[in-house]
Amino acid sequence: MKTIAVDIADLKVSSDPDSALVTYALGSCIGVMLYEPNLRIGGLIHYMLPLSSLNAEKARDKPAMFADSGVPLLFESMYRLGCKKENLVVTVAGGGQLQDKDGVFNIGKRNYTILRKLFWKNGVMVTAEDVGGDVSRTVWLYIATGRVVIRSQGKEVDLCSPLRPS
Amino acid sequence: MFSVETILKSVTSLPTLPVALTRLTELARDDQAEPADFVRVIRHDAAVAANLLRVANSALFHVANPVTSIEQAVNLLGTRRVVELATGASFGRIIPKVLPGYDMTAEGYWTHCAAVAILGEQLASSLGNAAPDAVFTCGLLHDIGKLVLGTFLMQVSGEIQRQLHGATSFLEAERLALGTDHAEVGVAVAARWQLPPPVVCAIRSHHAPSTAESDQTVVDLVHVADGLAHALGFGADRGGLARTMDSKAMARLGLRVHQLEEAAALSLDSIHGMAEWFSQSDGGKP
Repeated sequence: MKTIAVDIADLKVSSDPDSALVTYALGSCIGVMLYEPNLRIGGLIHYMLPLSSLNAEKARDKPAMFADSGVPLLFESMYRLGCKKENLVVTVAGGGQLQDKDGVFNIGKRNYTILRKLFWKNGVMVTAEDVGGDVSRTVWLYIATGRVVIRSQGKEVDLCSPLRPS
Repeated sequence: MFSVETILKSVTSLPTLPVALTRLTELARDDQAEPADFVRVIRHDAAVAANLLRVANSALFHVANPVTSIEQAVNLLGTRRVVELATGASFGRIIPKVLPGYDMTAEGYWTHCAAVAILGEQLASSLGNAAPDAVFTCGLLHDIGKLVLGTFLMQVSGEIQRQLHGATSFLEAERLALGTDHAEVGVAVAARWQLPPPVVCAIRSHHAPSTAESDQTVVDLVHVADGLAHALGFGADRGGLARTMDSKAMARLGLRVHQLEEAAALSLDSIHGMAEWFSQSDGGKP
Protein backbone atom coordinates (compact mmCIF):
# COMPACT_ATOMS: atom_id res chain seq x y z
CA MET A 1 0.00 0.00 0.00
CA LYS A 2 1.37 3.34 -1.08
CA THR A 3 0.59 6.29 1.20
CA ILE A 4 0.43 9.68 -0.45
CA ALA A 5 0.87 12.44 2.13
CA VAL A 6 -1.10 15.64 1.69
CA ASP A 7 0.71 18.51 3.37
CA ILE A 8 -0.90 21.51 5.07
CA ALA A 9 -2.27 23.94 2.44
CA ASP A 10 -2.18 21.25 -0.24
CA LEU A 11 -4.58 18.93 -2.09
CA LYS A 12 -4.10 15.65 -3.95
CA VAL A 13 -6.20 13.20 -5.93
CA SER A 14 -5.46 9.55 -6.62
CA SER A 15 -6.93 6.81 -8.79
CA ASP A 16 -4.36 4.17 -7.76
CA PRO A 17 -6.33 1.44 -5.93
CA ASP A 18 -3.18 0.44 -4.10
CA SER A 19 -2.83 3.84 -2.47
CA ALA A 20 -4.18 5.83 0.45
CA LEU A 21 -4.22 9.60 0.80
CA VAL A 22 -3.14 10.64 4.30
CA THR A 23 -2.94 13.98 6.07
CA TYR A 24 -1.41 14.46 9.51
CA ALA A 25 -2.17 16.63 12.53
CA LEU A 26 -5.36 18.44 11.56
CA GLY A 27 -5.84 20.89 14.42
CA SER A 28 -7.89 23.93 13.53
CA CYS A 29 -7.27 23.07 9.86
CA ILE A 30 -9.88 21.03 8.00
CA GLY A 31 -9.56 17.99 5.76
CA VAL A 32 -12.23 17.44 3.10
CA MET A 33 -12.26 13.98 1.53
CA LEU A 34 -14.06 13.25 -1.76
CA TYR A 35 -14.60 9.76 -3.16
CA GLU A 36 -16.17 8.55 -6.41
CA PRO A 37 -17.18 4.92 -5.73
CA ASN A 38 -17.91 4.02 -9.40
CA LEU A 39 -14.52 5.18 -10.66
CA ARG A 40 -12.65 4.56 -7.38
CA ILE A 41 -11.03 7.97 -7.38
CA GLY A 42 -10.36 9.92 -4.20
CA GLY A 43 -9.27 13.44 -3.37
CA LEU A 44 -8.19 15.17 -0.17
CA ILE A 45 -7.51 18.80 0.77
CA HIS A 46 -5.89 20.00 4.02
CA TYR A 47 -6.78 23.70 4.15
CA MET A 48 -5.58 26.04 6.83
CA LEU A 49 -7.70 29.21 6.74
CA PRO A 50 -11.21 30.23 5.74
CA LEU A 51 -10.97 33.09 3.22
CA SER A 52 -8.54 33.78 0.36
CA SER A 53 -9.28 37.52 0.60
CA LEU A 54 -6.80 37.50 3.53
CA ASN A 55 -3.85 37.49 1.14
CA ALA A 56 -4.33 37.54 -2.64
CA GLU A 57 -0.73 36.57 -3.38
CA LYS A 58 -0.85 33.47 -1.15
CA ALA A 59 -4.23 32.54 -2.63
CA ARG A 60 -2.71 32.60 -6.14
CA ASP A 61 0.43 30.79 -5.04
CA LYS A 62 -1.22 28.16 -2.79
CA PRO A 63 -4.99 28.08 -3.41
CA ALA A 64 -5.33 24.99 -1.17
CA MET A 65 -4.39 27.18 1.82
CA PHE A 66 -7.93 28.60 1.93
CA ALA A 67 -11.39 27.01 2.03
CA ASP A 68 -12.98 29.28 -0.57
CA SER A 69 -10.20 28.84 -3.15
CA GLY A 70 -9.09 25.28 -2.29
CA VAL A 71 -12.32 23.33 -1.89
CA PRO A 72 -13.72 24.33 -5.34
CA LEU A 73 -10.32 23.38 -6.81
CA LEU A 74 -10.57 19.92 -5.20
CA PHE A 75 -14.01 19.37 -6.78
CA GLU A 76 -12.71 20.59 -10.19
CA SER A 77 -9.72 18.23 -9.93
CA MET A 78 -12.16 15.34 -9.42
CA TYR A 79 -14.43 16.45 -12.30
CA ARG A 80 -11.41 16.61 -14.62
CA LEU A 81 -10.90 12.88 -13.97
CA GLY A 82 -14.50 12.21 -14.99
CA CYS A 83 -16.11 12.16 -11.54
CA LYS A 84 -19.76 13.22 -11.28
CA LYS A 85 -20.79 15.56 -8.49
CA GLU A 86 -23.89 13.50 -7.62
CA ASN A 87 -21.76 10.40 -7.03
CA LEU A 88 -19.22 12.00 -4.72
CA VAL A 89 -19.09 10.79 -1.12
CA VAL A 90 -18.04 13.81 0.97
CA THR A 91 -16.49 13.57 4.44
CA VAL A 92 -15.03 16.27 6.67
CA ALA A 93 -12.57 16.17 9.60
CA GLY A 94 -10.72 18.70 11.77
CA GLY A 95 -11.71 22.23 12.75
CA GLY A 96 -10.55 21.72 16.34
CA GLN A 97 -10.28 24.48 18.93
CA LEU A 98 -7.79 25.34 21.63
CA GLN A 99 -9.28 25.68 25.14
CA ASP A 100 -10.21 29.31 24.91
CA LYS A 101 -13.30 30.41 26.83
CA ASP A 102 -13.52 33.81 25.12
CA GLY A 103 -13.37 32.33 21.64
CA VAL A 104 -10.63 34.61 20.32
CA PHE A 105 -8.76 31.64 18.87
CA ASN A 106 -11.66 30.50 16.74
CA ILE A 107 -9.89 29.69 13.48
CA GLY A 108 -11.24 26.11 13.59
CA LYS A 109 -14.81 27.30 13.90
CA ARG A 110 -14.34 29.89 11.15
CA ASN A 111 -12.85 27.20 8.92
CA TYR A 112 -15.92 25.02 9.47
CA THR A 113 -18.50 27.81 9.07
CA ILE A 114 -17.18 28.86 5.67
CA LEU A 115 -17.13 25.24 4.48
CA ARG A 116 -20.81 24.72 5.43
CA LYS A 117 -21.67 27.93 3.59
CA LEU A 118 -19.80 26.77 0.47
CA PHE A 119 -21.51 23.37 0.57
CA TRP A 120 -24.94 24.89 1.17
CA LYS A 121 -24.58 27.32 -1.75
CA ASN A 122 -23.48 24.51 -4.06
CA GLY A 123 -25.86 21.81 -2.86
CA VAL A 124 -23.16 19.48 -1.53
CA MET A 125 -24.26 16.88 1.03
CA VAL A 126 -21.83 15.68 3.70
CA THR A 127 -22.00 11.93 4.37
CA ALA A 128 -20.04 11.95 7.64
CA GLU A 129 -17.90 14.32 9.65
CA ASP A 130 -15.71 14.44 12.74
CA VAL A 131 -15.13 18.09 13.64
CA GLY A 132 -14.46 20.39 16.60
CA GLY A 133 -13.21 19.57 20.08
CA ASP A 134 -9.72 20.13 21.45
CA VAL A 135 -8.15 17.23 19.56
CA SER A 136 -5.73 16.75 16.71
CA ARG A 137 -6.68 14.31 13.94
CA THR A 138 -4.90 12.30 11.25
CA VAL A 139 -6.99 11.06 8.30
CA TRP A 140 -6.58 8.25 5.77
CA LEU A 141 -8.66 7.85 2.60
CA TYR A 142 -8.22 4.39 1.03
CA ILE A 143 -8.65 4.61 -2.74
CA ALA A 144 -9.71 0.96 -3.28
CA THR A 145 -12.75 1.24 -0.99
CA GLY A 146 -13.25 4.92 -0.11
CA ARG A 147 -12.87 4.01 3.54
CA VAL A 148 -12.03 7.04 5.70
CA VAL A 149 -10.17 6.38 8.96
CA ILE A 150 -9.56 9.02 11.65
CA ARG A 151 -6.81 8.60 14.20
CA SER A 152 -7.04 10.85 17.24
CA GLN A 153 -5.67 10.52 20.78
CA GLY A 154 -4.31 7.06 20.06
CA LYS A 155 -7.64 5.67 18.78
CA GLU A 156 -8.66 4.82 15.22
CA VAL A 157 -12.25 5.19 14.07
CA ASP A 158 -13.89 4.50 10.68
CA LEU A 159 -15.71 7.63 9.54
CA CYS A 160 -17.09 6.10 6.37
CA SER A 161 -16.74 2.92 4.24
CA PRO A 162 -18.64 3.27 0.95
CA LEU A 163 -17.38 0.02 -0.66
CA ARG A 164 -16.59 -3.47 0.58
CA PRO A 165 -13.00 -4.57 0.02
CA SER A 166 -12.90 -6.60 -3.20
CA MET B 1 8.97 9.32 42.17
CA PHE B 2 11.81 11.71 41.45
CA SER B 3 12.35 14.69 43.68
CA VAL B 4 12.12 18.09 42.04
CA GLU B 5 15.72 18.70 43.20
CA THR B 6 16.91 15.59 41.33
CA ILE B 7 15.26 16.80 38.17
CA LEU B 8 16.50 20.37 38.47
CA LYS B 9 20.01 19.12 39.25
CA SER B 10 20.03 17.07 36.05
CA VAL B 11 19.82 20.27 34.06
CA THR B 12 23.07 20.45 32.14
CA SER B 13 24.17 21.95 28.88
CA LEU B 14 21.76 21.21 26.07
CA PRO B 15 22.63 19.13 23.03
CA THR B 16 23.12 20.91 19.75
CA LEU B 17 23.22 20.17 16.05
CA PRO B 18 26.56 19.51 14.37
CA VAL B 19 25.42 20.68 10.91
CA ALA B 20 25.13 24.24 12.15
CA LEU B 21 28.67 23.82 13.40
CA THR B 22 29.90 22.56 10.02
CA ARG B 23 28.21 25.45 8.29
CA LEU B 24 29.66 27.95 10.76
CA THR B 25 33.12 26.48 10.29
CA GLU B 26 32.76 26.87 6.52
CA LEU B 27 31.66 30.47 6.96
CA ALA B 28 34.63 31.19 9.21
CA ARG B 29 36.93 30.09 6.37
CA ASP B 30 35.06 32.17 3.80
CA ASP B 31 36.52 35.66 3.44
CA GLN B 32 33.34 36.85 1.76
CA ALA B 33 31.13 35.81 4.70
CA GLU B 34 29.31 38.59 6.52
CA PRO B 35 28.15 38.56 10.15
CA ALA B 36 24.62 38.32 8.71
CA ASP B 37 25.52 34.91 7.20
CA PHE B 38 26.46 33.64 10.68
CA VAL B 39 23.26 35.02 12.10
CA ARG B 40 21.25 33.13 9.48
CA VAL B 41 22.84 29.80 10.45
CA ILE B 42 22.59 30.40 14.20
CA ARG B 43 18.92 31.36 13.95
CA HIS B 44 18.28 27.76 12.88
CA ASP B 45 19.88 26.24 15.96
CA ALA B 46 18.27 26.66 19.36
CA ALA B 47 21.20 25.30 21.37
CA VAL B 48 23.88 27.33 19.59
CA ALA B 49 21.70 30.46 19.90
CA ALA B 50 21.25 29.82 23.61
CA ASN B 51 24.95 29.25 24.20
CA LEU B 52 25.83 32.36 22.27
CA LEU B 53 23.48 34.53 24.32
CA ARG B 54 24.70 32.91 27.54
CA VAL B 55 28.33 33.81 26.81
CA ALA B 56 27.51 37.25 25.45
CA ASN B 57 25.77 38.01 28.74
CA SER B 58 28.40 36.36 30.95
CA ALA B 59 30.92 38.18 33.12
CA LEU B 60 33.43 37.75 30.29
CA PHE B 61 31.87 40.71 28.50
CA HIS B 62 31.00 43.79 30.47
CA VAL B 63 27.92 44.79 28.53
CA ALA B 64 25.78 47.61 29.86
CA ASN B 65 22.51 46.16 28.56
CA PRO B 66 21.63 42.48 28.24
CA VAL B 67 22.28 41.06 24.78
CA THR B 68 18.95 39.71 23.56
CA SER B 69 19.41 39.23 19.82
CA ILE B 70 21.63 36.90 17.84
CA GLU B 71 22.83 39.83 15.71
CA GLN B 72 24.05 41.65 18.80
CA ALA B 73 25.75 38.52 20.11
CA VAL B 74 27.56 37.80 16.80
CA ASN B 75 28.76 41.41 16.54
CA LEU B 76 29.93 41.38 20.15
CA LEU B 77 31.65 38.00 20.11
CA GLY B 78 33.17 38.04 16.64
CA THR B 79 33.02 35.18 14.18
CA ARG B 80 35.92 33.20 15.63
CA ARG B 81 34.44 32.97 19.08
CA VAL B 82 31.04 32.17 17.59
CA VAL B 83 32.56 29.09 15.96
CA GLU B 84 34.35 28.12 19.19
CA LEU B 85 31.12 28.38 21.10
CA ALA B 86 29.28 26.30 18.53
CA THR B 87 32.00 23.66 18.81
CA GLY B 88 31.74 23.57 22.58
CA ALA B 89 27.98 23.44 22.49
CA SER B 90 27.81 20.61 20.02
CA PHE B 91 30.49 18.44 21.56
CA GLY B 92 28.99 14.98 21.67
CA ARG B 93 25.51 16.31 22.11
CA ILE B 94 22.50 16.31 19.82
CA ILE B 95 18.75 16.36 20.27
CA PRO B 96 17.64 12.77 20.96
CA LYS B 97 15.92 11.00 18.06
CA VAL B 98 12.75 10.70 20.11
CA LEU B 99 11.85 12.90 23.04
CA PRO B 100 11.00 10.27 25.62
CA GLY B 101 7.78 10.91 27.51
CA TYR B 102 6.36 13.25 24.88
CA ASP B 103 5.73 10.83 21.97
CA MET B 104 7.54 13.34 19.84
CA THR B 105 10.33 12.94 17.33
CA ALA B 106 13.29 15.28 17.17
CA GLU B 107 11.81 16.64 13.93
CA GLY B 108 8.47 17.24 15.65
CA TYR B 109 10.13 19.08 18.53
CA TRP B 110 12.25 21.14 16.19
CA THR B 111 9.36 22.02 13.87
CA HIS B 112 7.27 23.17 16.81
CA CYS B 113 10.06 25.42 18.18
CA ALA B 114 10.72 26.82 14.69
CA ALA B 115 6.98 27.46 14.15
CA VAL B 116 6.66 29.35 17.46
CA ALA B 117 9.75 31.43 16.63
CA ILE B 118 8.56 32.31 13.12
CA LEU B 119 4.89 32.87 14.01
CA GLY B 120 5.92 34.99 17.02
CA GLU B 121 8.18 37.12 14.88
CA GLN B 122 5.46 37.49 12.23
CA LEU B 123 2.88 38.52 14.85
CA ALA B 124 5.38 40.98 16.34
CA SER B 125 5.97 42.60 12.95
CA SER B 126 2.23 42.88 12.35
CA LEU B 127 2.08 44.86 15.62
CA GLY B 128 5.00 47.05 14.64
CA ASN B 129 6.96 45.72 17.60
CA ALA B 130 10.49 47.13 17.64
CA ALA B 131 12.34 43.97 18.72
CA PRO B 132 11.07 40.99 16.72
CA ASP B 133 14.40 39.16 16.99
CA ALA B 134 14.03 38.66 20.75
CA VAL B 135 10.66 37.06 19.98
CA PHE B 136 12.30 34.68 17.53
CA THR B 137 14.89 33.59 20.10
CA CYS B 138 12.28 33.24 22.86
CA GLY B 139 10.09 31.16 20.57
CA LEU B 140 12.96 28.90 19.58
CA LEU B 141 13.88 28.23 23.22
CA HIS B 142 10.49 28.30 24.98
CA ASP B 143 10.19 24.49 25.34
CA ILE B 144 13.82 23.84 26.22
CA GLY B 145 12.71 22.28 29.54
CA LYS B 146 11.15 19.37 27.60
CA LEU B 147 14.58 18.14 26.54
CA VAL B 148 15.41 17.56 30.21
CA LEU B 149 12.01 16.56 31.57
CA GLY B 150 11.20 13.93 28.95
CA THR B 151 13.75 11.46 30.33
CA PHE B 152 12.07 11.59 33.75
CA LEU B 153 8.56 11.52 32.34
CA MET B 154 9.37 8.27 30.55
CA GLN B 155 10.34 6.57 33.82
CA VAL B 156 7.20 7.28 35.84
CA SER B 157 4.98 4.35 36.80
CA GLY B 158 2.10 2.97 34.75
CA GLU B 159 -0.38 4.40 37.23
CA ILE B 160 0.91 7.90 36.74
CA GLN B 161 0.90 7.33 32.98
CA ARG B 162 -2.84 6.58 33.24
CA GLN B 163 -3.38 9.74 35.31
CA LEU B 164 -1.67 11.70 32.56
CA HIS B 165 -4.40 10.81 30.10
CA GLY B 166 -7.05 12.24 32.44
CA ALA B 167 -5.22 15.49 33.13
CA THR B 168 -6.73 18.67 31.72
CA SER B 169 -3.48 19.90 30.23
CA PHE B 170 -0.07 18.44 29.57
CA LEU B 171 1.55 20.94 31.91
CA GLU B 172 -0.75 19.74 34.70
CA ALA B 173 0.07 16.15 33.78
CA GLU B 174 3.78 16.89 34.17
CA ARG B 175 3.16 18.36 37.62
CA LEU B 176 1.04 15.36 38.63
CA ALA B 177 3.71 12.94 37.54
CA LEU B 178 6.88 14.75 38.59
CA GLY B 179 5.99 17.68 40.84
CA THR B 180 7.41 20.10 38.30
CA ASP B 181 6.79 21.07 34.67
CA HIS B 182 8.77 21.91 31.54
CA ALA B 183 8.39 25.66 32.15
CA GLU B 184 10.02 25.42 35.59
CA VAL B 185 12.74 23.07 34.35
CA GLY B 186 13.29 25.36 31.35
CA VAL B 187 13.88 28.26 33.75
CA ALA B 188 16.51 26.15 35.52
CA VAL B 189 18.25 25.57 32.18
CA ALA B 190 18.00 29.28 31.39
CA ALA B 191 19.37 30.25 34.81
CA ARG B 192 22.31 27.90 34.44
CA TRP B 193 23.06 29.36 31.05
CA GLN B 194 22.52 32.94 32.19
CA LEU B 195 20.08 33.58 29.36
CA PRO B 196 18.80 37.16 29.14
CA PRO B 197 15.59 38.11 31.04
CA PRO B 198 13.14 38.13 28.07
CA VAL B 199 14.08 34.53 27.24
CA VAL B 200 13.78 33.43 30.88
CA CYS B 201 10.38 35.13 31.18
CA ALA B 202 9.12 33.56 27.97
CA ILE B 203 10.20 30.10 29.13
CA ARG B 204 8.67 30.53 32.59
CA SER B 205 5.36 32.10 31.58
CA HIS B 206 4.58 30.85 28.08
CA HIS B 207 1.63 28.82 29.43
CA ALA B 208 0.44 31.54 31.87
CA PRO B 209 1.42 34.87 30.31
CA SER B 210 -0.54 36.99 32.80
CA THR B 211 1.90 35.88 35.53
CA ALA B 212 4.93 37.32 33.69
CA GLU B 213 7.09 39.52 35.92
CA SER B 214 8.50 41.53 33.02
CA ASP B 215 8.78 41.55 29.21
CA GLN B 216 5.00 41.21 28.94
CA THR B 217 4.80 41.78 25.17
CA VAL B 218 7.36 39.12 24.33
CA VAL B 219 5.74 36.62 26.74
CA ASP B 220 2.29 37.31 25.27
CA LEU B 221 3.61 36.86 21.72
CA VAL B 222 5.24 33.52 22.58
CA HIS B 223 2.04 32.34 24.31
CA VAL B 224 -0.12 33.24 21.29
CA ALA B 225 2.40 31.85 18.78
CA ASP B 226 2.63 28.61 20.80
CA GLY B 227 -1.15 28.18 20.69
CA LEU B 228 -1.27 29.05 17.00
CA ALA B 229 1.50 26.56 16.21
CA HIS B 230 -0.40 23.76 17.96
CA ALA B 231 -3.67 24.77 16.28
CA LEU B 232 -1.97 24.59 12.89
CA GLY B 233 -0.59 21.13 13.66
CA PHE B 234 3.08 22.07 13.90
CA GLY B 235 4.79 19.69 16.26
CA ALA B 236 1.66 18.34 17.90
CA ASP B 237 2.63 16.24 20.92
CA ARG B 238 0.50 14.03 23.16
CA GLY B 239 -1.23 17.15 24.50
CA GLY B 240 -2.89 17.93 21.13
CA LEU B 241 -5.01 21.06 21.32
CA ALA B 242 -5.72 20.53 25.05
CA ARG B 243 -4.05 23.75 26.14
CA THR B 244 -5.69 26.71 27.79
CA MET B 245 -5.29 30.02 26.01
CA ASP B 246 -5.17 33.26 28.02
CA SER B 247 -7.41 35.70 26.15
CA LYS B 248 -5.86 38.55 28.14
CA ALA B 249 -2.67 38.03 26.13
CA MET B 250 -4.58 38.66 22.88
CA ALA B 251 -6.26 41.71 24.45
CA ARG B 252 -2.96 43.16 25.71
CA LEU B 253 -1.41 42.73 22.27
CA GLY B 254 -4.53 44.12 20.61
CA LEU B 255 -4.51 41.18 18.18
CA ARG B 256 -7.56 40.14 16.17
CA VAL B 257 -8.22 36.75 14.67
CA HIS B 258 -7.51 37.97 11.11
CA GLN B 259 -3.98 38.93 12.25
CA LEU B 260 -3.45 35.39 13.54
CA GLU B 261 -4.65 34.07 10.19
CA GLU B 262 -2.41 36.44 8.26
CA ALA B 263 0.63 35.47 10.36
CA ALA B 264 -0.17 31.80 9.68
CA ALA B 265 -0.44 32.40 5.92
CA LEU B 266 2.82 34.39 5.78
CA SER B 267 4.80 31.99 8.01
CA LEU B 268 4.05 28.67 6.33
CA ASP B 269 6.91 28.69 3.81
CA SER B 270 9.50 29.75 6.42
CA ILE B 271 8.36 27.03 8.83
CA HIS B 272 8.63 24.41 6.09
CA GLY B 273 12.07 25.78 5.22
CA MET B 274 13.36 25.43 8.76
CA ALA B 275 11.82 21.95 9.14
CA GLU B 276 13.46 20.85 5.90
CA TRP B 277 16.79 22.28 6.99
CA PHE B 278 16.62 20.14 10.12
CA SER B 279 15.64 16.90 8.37
CA GLN B 280 18.50 17.39 5.89
CA SER B 281 20.91 17.98 8.73
CA ASP B 282 22.11 15.37 11.18
CA GLY B 283 19.69 16.69 13.76
CA GLY B 284 18.01 14.04 15.85
CA LYS B 285 20.13 11.19 14.54
CA PRO B 286 21.45 8.91 17.28
